[in-house]
Amino acid sequence: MTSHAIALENVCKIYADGDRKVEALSDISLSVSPGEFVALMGPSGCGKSTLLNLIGAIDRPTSGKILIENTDTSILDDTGLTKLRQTKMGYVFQFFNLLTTLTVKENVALPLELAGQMTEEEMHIRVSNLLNQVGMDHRLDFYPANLSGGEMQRVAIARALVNKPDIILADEPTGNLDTENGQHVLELLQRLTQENGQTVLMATHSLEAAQYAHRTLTIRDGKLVDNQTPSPVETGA
Amino acid sequence: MQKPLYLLICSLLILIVPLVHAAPFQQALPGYPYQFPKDHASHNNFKTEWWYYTGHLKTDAGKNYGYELTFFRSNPGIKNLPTKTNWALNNIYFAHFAVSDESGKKFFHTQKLGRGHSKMDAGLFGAETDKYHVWTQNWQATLDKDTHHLAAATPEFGINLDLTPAKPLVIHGKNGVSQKASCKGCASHYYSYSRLNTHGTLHINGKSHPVTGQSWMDHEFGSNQLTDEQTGWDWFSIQLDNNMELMLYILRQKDGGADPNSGGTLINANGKSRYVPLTEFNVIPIDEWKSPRSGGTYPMGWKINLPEENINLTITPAFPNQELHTQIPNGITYWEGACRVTGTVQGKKITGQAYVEMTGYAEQFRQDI
Amino acid sequence: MLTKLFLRFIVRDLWRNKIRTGLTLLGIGLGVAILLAINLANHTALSTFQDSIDRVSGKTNLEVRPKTVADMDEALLQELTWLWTLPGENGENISEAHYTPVLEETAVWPGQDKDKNQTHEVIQVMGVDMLADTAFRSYDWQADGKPDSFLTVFEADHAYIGEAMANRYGLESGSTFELFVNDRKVKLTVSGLLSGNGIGGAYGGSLVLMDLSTAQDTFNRAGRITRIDFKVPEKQIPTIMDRLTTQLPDTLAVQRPARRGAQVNKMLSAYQQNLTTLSFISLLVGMFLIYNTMSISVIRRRPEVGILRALGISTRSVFLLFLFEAGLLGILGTLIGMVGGVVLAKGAVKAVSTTIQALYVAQPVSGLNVDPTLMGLAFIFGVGLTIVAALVPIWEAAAVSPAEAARRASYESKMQHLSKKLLWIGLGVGVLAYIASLQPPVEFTMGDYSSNQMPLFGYLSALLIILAGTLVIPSVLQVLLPLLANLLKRTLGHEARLSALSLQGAIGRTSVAVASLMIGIAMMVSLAMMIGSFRETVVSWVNDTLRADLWIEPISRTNNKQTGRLDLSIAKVIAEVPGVAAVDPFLEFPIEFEGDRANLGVGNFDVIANFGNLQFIDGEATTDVFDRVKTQRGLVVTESFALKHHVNKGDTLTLDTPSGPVGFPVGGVYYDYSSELGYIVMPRPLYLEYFDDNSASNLAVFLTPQANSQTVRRTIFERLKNNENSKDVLLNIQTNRELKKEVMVIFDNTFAITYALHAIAIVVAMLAVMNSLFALVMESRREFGILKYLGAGHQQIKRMVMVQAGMLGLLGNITGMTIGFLLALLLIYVINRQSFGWTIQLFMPWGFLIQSFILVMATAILSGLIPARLAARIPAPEVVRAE
Repeated sequence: MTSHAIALENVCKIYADGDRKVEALSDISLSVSPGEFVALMGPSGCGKSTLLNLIGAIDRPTSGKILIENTDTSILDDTGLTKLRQTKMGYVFQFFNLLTTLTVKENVALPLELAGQMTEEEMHIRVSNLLNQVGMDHRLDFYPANLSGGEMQRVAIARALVNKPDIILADEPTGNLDTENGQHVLELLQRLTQENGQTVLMATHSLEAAQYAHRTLTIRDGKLVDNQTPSPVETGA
Repeated sequence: MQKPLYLLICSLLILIVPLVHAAPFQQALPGYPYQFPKDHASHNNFKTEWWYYTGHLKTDAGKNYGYELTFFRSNPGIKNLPTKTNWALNNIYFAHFAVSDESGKKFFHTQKLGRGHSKMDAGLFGAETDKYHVWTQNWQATLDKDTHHLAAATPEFGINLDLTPAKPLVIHGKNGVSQKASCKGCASHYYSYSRLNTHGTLHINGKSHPVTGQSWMDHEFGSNQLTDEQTGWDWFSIQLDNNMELMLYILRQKDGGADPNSGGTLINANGKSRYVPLTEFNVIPIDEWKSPRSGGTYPMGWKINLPEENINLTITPAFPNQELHTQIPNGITYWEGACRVTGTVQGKKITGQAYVEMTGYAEQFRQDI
Repeated sequence: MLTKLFLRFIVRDLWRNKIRTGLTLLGIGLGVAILLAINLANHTALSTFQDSIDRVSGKTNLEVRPKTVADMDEALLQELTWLWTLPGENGENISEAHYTPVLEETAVWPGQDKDKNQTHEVIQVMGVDMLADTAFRSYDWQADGKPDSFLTVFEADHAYIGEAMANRYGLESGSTFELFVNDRKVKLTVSGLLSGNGIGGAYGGSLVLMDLSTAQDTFNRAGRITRIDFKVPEKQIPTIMDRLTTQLPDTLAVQRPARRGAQVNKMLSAYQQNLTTLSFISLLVGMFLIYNTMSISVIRRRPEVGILRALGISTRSVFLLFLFEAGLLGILGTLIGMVGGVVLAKGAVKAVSTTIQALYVAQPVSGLNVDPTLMGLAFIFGVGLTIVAALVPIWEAAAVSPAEAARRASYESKMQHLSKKLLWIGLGVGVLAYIASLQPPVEFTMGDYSSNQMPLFGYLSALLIILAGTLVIPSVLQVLLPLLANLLKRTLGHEARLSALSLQGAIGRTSVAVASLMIGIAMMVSLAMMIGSFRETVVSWVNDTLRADLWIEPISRTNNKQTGRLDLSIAKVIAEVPGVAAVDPFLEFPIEFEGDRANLGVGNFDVIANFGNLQFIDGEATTDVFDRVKTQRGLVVTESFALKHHVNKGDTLTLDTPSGPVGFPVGGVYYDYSSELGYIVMPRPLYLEYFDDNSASNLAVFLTPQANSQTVRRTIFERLKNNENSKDVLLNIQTNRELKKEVMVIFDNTFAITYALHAIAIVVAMLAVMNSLFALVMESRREFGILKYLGAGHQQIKRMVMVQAGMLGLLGNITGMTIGFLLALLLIYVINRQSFGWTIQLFMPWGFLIQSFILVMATAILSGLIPARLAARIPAPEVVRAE
């Protein structure tokens, strides 16, 4: 039996909007190996974010099976899912989603504090190192409102990596950034995850971004259409 | 001469009203024309008055009990009393009631104090002026022909007695007045029934006993108080088995000596009496007793002799603790107890019974309100 | 961990939104403060009475007091002598039973206190047997106040006084002072100062203690007493009570002193309940403030909650975080409220005691009893209700799914969907409210004594009305907002329309804001309508009923309308004054009827029929009723009495008279607003047949048409002064106009607390307006940011915010006035009637309604200013991005 970081078997997701039913994802099966950097491409509304949410255990599929490191998430209750998110997952969002009332340092430390297994000092070292690595160590006590978009996303990446999750889920991490900042962030993401052998699943609609991935999956209208490595020809950088 | 308990209540009033003495009370002066039975009743022209009974009772079972029941009337002499009311404080009435269980050596005592009402009598306090009737709520003394009726009851103890004179009454002192100090009017009108045959019931600790015995009654009224020099007194009423009685009192002075006005009355078996001046008798204490409650140290037991009459007596208290404590409204503590008498008269052996009163030993002449 | 997150996620957020947090805390604080102040004042009054009863009773365990008469003859004492010889229960020789007479008088301080403040404080005077009293009551002397001699107190006009009173009026041993008693001024000399321990602490120390002899003499009451105190063995009480009850006339009550406490308690219960209920309303508004704040906080932070959930924070932890937020707000707000409550209570005690003395018991109340239990309850209520109010938003927060970190606006779409459902539920609740309002009052049994009525269903109905209003608001808004949008577009331009649409887009938040406004305004409006209607009703009653040209009362009634008598001989003097057509000596005094306090009135029905007027509830003419009363030898009762005791016209009412119980036919029931305890009024000749008490408490004087009331008043004073008997008599003589004015002053005093509550309701309502607006506008910043991107100028943005604020004010006004009107109907026709037995005519206080409409609009628009400035100032990109 092969060991997959992520495996989906016939996953469907249907949203009910009033009386109307919208099939956001239909019959998706895929697998991602540990340490792989996979880009998820497709136009807006194709179901990328939904897929990420399902994998990230922040939403449940209507049918099908999702295995995270061979664990079937459908058998987990809310507490189990919470635990899973806490220990295995790191998230990077398009809108950065930093908590506005927490400082940079506190935002990054939050997952560690939630896990509650480190001393204050260990946490401080880990957080400082990480913020150093993303180049944000000069903004430790700033509130998110006082940061630029690129800075916020760098902090968000630091937060996603801080508890050394096996899987990083990034939803349009560069969507709100200019090209230069976007590249910077992606390099950072690539470098840091490679060092630790973390699996990355990144939703993006930008081909430049997809270049940083080992493999690209494309979704259209809720269906997986392709399963291949990106063609370097299309790179326009 | 007067019986010192009179002084006790006078002194009490001195303490209460040091400044109010200008009220025009009638003075006790020589030549007072006694009229009986009217003079048994209350004399409201005089400031102070009391009716005093002591006695020795015996139950069918042969147990001895002593009793004291005293009614006082005192006009505090308040000048500007309210007028549109029946409750003006013209007189304060109070009564002391004590029973000595000689065999059980138990002393019961209590008091009542209250005011009169100018229209009502029942249930309150008062004394009538036209006939003998004095009462403090349910305690009372009345006269029916010659018979005195006494009733007093408390939850613990009570008496209901009929007293009939065995001998005529005796007027003490000289010329109708009993001088108590050397000043004019420092005196009272004072008479006694020295021997009253007594029978009735005694109520004690939830049981009634038919009793018989003999009592002594004093009635005294006057308007002046004892002087600053006098600190207290010892008073003896002695009933001898040969039908003689002897009353003696010693007014103690601050210097420890006896006031020259101290004296007494000797009553012969035939009822004839004579005044006995201080110079004719000796009283020698035998022992003493310290009250655990008040801390006062009292003489306890006396040798009394009247050399001219060849009377030699020994007075022995039935038991030491016969001290009364009264709280309301003026704390006053004194010893008033039943005693046994032995001795000789004209060389003949004699026994008898006595009541002794001692004041001023416990320094309890204080004012509580 | 949760603590840290609480500090960072919740406390920092509260701190960042200081103004809103402050408004919320102020709202809760005010609510709690009012509730506490009213309850402390009520408690102080009751505990003063209870404590006074305890101190005054001392060791008394049984008492005899007049029930349907004013006092009793002291000769009664002679009939009790069997008690001195009553056998004991356990074979004692006799029982230990004692009794002592007491004469009580109520006096009034005649002028200034030590600090030259004018006062007519009510002073309780007790005449006791000073020789016997220490056996009943405990006497403790102030350090320098012990009398030099025990006997001075028996001198004429001598008295002991309470230390507190001595301090207030600068008296010491030997000082003389004056008191108004009945129609005289008496002069007393202090012969001792009683400390606050024991009897001297009764009535807050406003107590004069005299010997019975002195009291009878000074107050001209020779031979009269008002109470006999008994001290008897506890075990024998039933036996003794039975015997006394059989022996004594029916006009006297034989009871345990504690009974009096229960009676006072019961007598005041309607008045106090009403205040407590009113005070709860402000707490209710406070709760809505909390609901509002929390809801908006949760709506605003949904995405953040989503992030927390995505980061692995459990539902339970989210729940706890917001619960702690509510708890923190609750605790801080309540603490503020508790401090404020104690401060306010001082004023409240004064107001409450004024009312109680004017209408219920002529007994002094002073000081403030800061009862720890009440403080504790206030804390529990404040914090508890805050949390309850916050529960819905908290659940809402806990239910946020992690997916919402990335999603938006799901709440509002849900709300759109829900509003129809809520409308139906709301209508259903409305029907329930209507049904509840039709229910009769709930009867309660207090202790062993007679029952008491409470309009519990009325209160329930009020809550249901508010709930129904809240539930239908989303639907109402969905109808009103598009209308407004179109209207505004035409009048104020395009931005205005956008504002309306944005409110509609956030229908959930808008509903919460409007609901808070609605409740605040409803409370304000309903109280105003209730008070206004009541006042108007009383004004018209006063004009119809108070016909006397001159109203004469003894000086001691200045501050106490319960006791105080006149020397009836002056009636003759007055009747002979030129211009006087008729004099009606009216007698009124408190009695006990079926275990309850009521008043007995005695008047000259011929005079009332000829000169005066009563409004009978069935509209029958006064003369007709009085003719019937005369032939049937009957009486009339007031509406409140009739309702309390379930008495109707034609019924027979049994009164205990000195010659036994007598049935009197009730000739009519008339409107009266002077006492909720009610009056029984009988003609004087009939009264005199049964009662031996030919006195008066006031005189109604009717003049001939030509006479001038000022002139006649002057003549009356002159004639009385020249008359040997009446030269010392002190009277208040009021003209008709003055009397009417005084009645209204008493009315206004009685409602002083209600007015205060009303003022606070307005403040709380304005807080609600500000808070809601502030929240709403702050939440719309993003939208304004976008508008700026689209080219909106600062002024335009400002105007939009102001328009939004104005719209909220308008919506709040419309809904609030509607609900307020319904609540007012409920207060007037159900709650007040069931509590007090009063028929109040509905009057619309148009003036107030217009003023309050303008006030709300002004506050709304003004409180839009700050957020408008903020919205305009914040740079657009930041607003858009930072979310």
